[in-house]
Amino acid sequence: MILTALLLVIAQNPAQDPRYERLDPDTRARVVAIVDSARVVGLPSDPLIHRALEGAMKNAAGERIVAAVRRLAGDLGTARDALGSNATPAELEAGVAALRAGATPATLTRLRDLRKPPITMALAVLADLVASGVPADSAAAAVLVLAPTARDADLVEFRRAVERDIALGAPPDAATSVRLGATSMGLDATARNARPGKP
Amino acid sequence: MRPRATPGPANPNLAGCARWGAGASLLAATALLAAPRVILAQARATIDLGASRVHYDGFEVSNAATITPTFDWYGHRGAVNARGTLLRFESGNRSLQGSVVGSLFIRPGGVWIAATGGRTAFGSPSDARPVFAASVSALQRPSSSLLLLLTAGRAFVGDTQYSDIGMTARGQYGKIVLETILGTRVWSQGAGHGVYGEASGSLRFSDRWAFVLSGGRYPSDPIRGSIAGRYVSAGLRFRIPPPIRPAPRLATQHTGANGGDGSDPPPWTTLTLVPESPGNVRLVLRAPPATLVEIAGDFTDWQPVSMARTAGGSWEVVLPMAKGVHQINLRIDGGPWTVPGGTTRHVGDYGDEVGTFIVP
Repeated sequence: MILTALLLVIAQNPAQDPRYERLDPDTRARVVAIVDSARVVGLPSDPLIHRALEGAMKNAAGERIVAAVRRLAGDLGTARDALGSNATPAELEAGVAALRAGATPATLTRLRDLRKPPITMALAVLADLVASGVPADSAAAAVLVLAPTARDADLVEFRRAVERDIALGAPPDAATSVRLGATSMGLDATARNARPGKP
Repeated sequence: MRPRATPGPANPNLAGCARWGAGASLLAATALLAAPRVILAQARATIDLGASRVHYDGFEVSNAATITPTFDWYGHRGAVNARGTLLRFESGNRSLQGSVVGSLFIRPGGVWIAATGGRTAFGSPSDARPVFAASVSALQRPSSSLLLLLTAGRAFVGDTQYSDIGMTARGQYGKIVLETILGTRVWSQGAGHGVYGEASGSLRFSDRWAFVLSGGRYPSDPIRGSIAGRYVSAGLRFRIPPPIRPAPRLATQHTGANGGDGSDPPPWTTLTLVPESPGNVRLVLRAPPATLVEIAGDFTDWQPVSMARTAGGSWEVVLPMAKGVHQINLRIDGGPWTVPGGTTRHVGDYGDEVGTFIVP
């Protein structure tokens, strides 16, 4: 009984998470405070802890670790506001990546409305497209077009195709458009486009 | 439009003289199979096989079997589009039309400007006439599944000139693609006037095959040498698959992870993910000359984990990993933390770069 009670105390007291021991005492206290505050408002704690641990591994100064964790907590809150309270931690993390890449909260909300959950992959693809050089608005438009019907595997393949085109020298915006089939609508200066089987 | 010989069912001899275009289209589609990698990225080729019911203006209604090869290549602000149509009418006459069009695109603020110049010949090569055509297009996306293209263009073919204003709508709903064109020809000298419209639908039932249905009315086309007409067509579309080649990795950029000297990762580091048992992923890294390879990421709680060298010279480790986005850094022989090739790099919160990858 005592052991059970002790385990419950540890589970409910994140400051006892052994991972925190990799932080110096001052940084640990400040990170724990941020994580606790985030948890109170329903944000996931693991991404915040991971961000602190990343700083510890990279020998970052305590101030910088605290700033990084605080910034991530703010971004997670923004993502949660955009994606709704039912968003999973993975969706929130992917949402943060998309926001930091340049997507707007409105885009995230639209994506949530268009696609059945989970939308983790769609958000990740959006962030990756922007990281590959595709303008944020073009990337958002592309993912929103695909979102209602494309499977996760289709989205990943779309991202790969665009990245492959970019690596081969295509302008990122054009690569996205081509892969969406937009330019195949007939940006042909002769105006008359061939229809299927047109005599 | 000036009275000219045009390819059609009643004029098979002259029609045959346009076969250079269709031939070029077929050649281009076939060449896709052997094209260099730089061509493949933006190229697509299809062949439609079907049957049409055609009513050219001024001629009897006729049925025809059709072969329609297409080839499109989109490059840096330019495109090459080749189209061909071979018809064999029930009368035994044949019509072969084709074109190869090069276009340049400029896109200032969402508006596309396309221009085409060259010569067109139908009748005989010595009868070629100069062509110049330019158009302005605006692409709109009123909903997530619908694209609208508004286009206004002016074309000069010899002493024939005309303007077309049109709208193309394209919707994709799962495996079905619907496309409609409505347009009108105005300010025409020798090319006729009027309203035209076409519609097509395709149902994709595999990566390579689709059923295609199309029909409508189109205006005369002095550039391609066809007269106005109406048609209904049905057929199968085969997409010529380009040879599958491994995607090249994006060029590595400068990294400067804390605790390191910020040097670039070796260019031969390439991370590959291989699904293992449920919840586990095998990470494979190509880094033959190394003696110690470590990775760290959110999936290791940012604790360095050594990878094991394989007989083939690569490095591997199997780790539990949830679906979603993960972050990773790589360290080789105790050097700086870098971003492995094959991942997407982002600027991290600690002034360095972090690689991200997706576990689908």
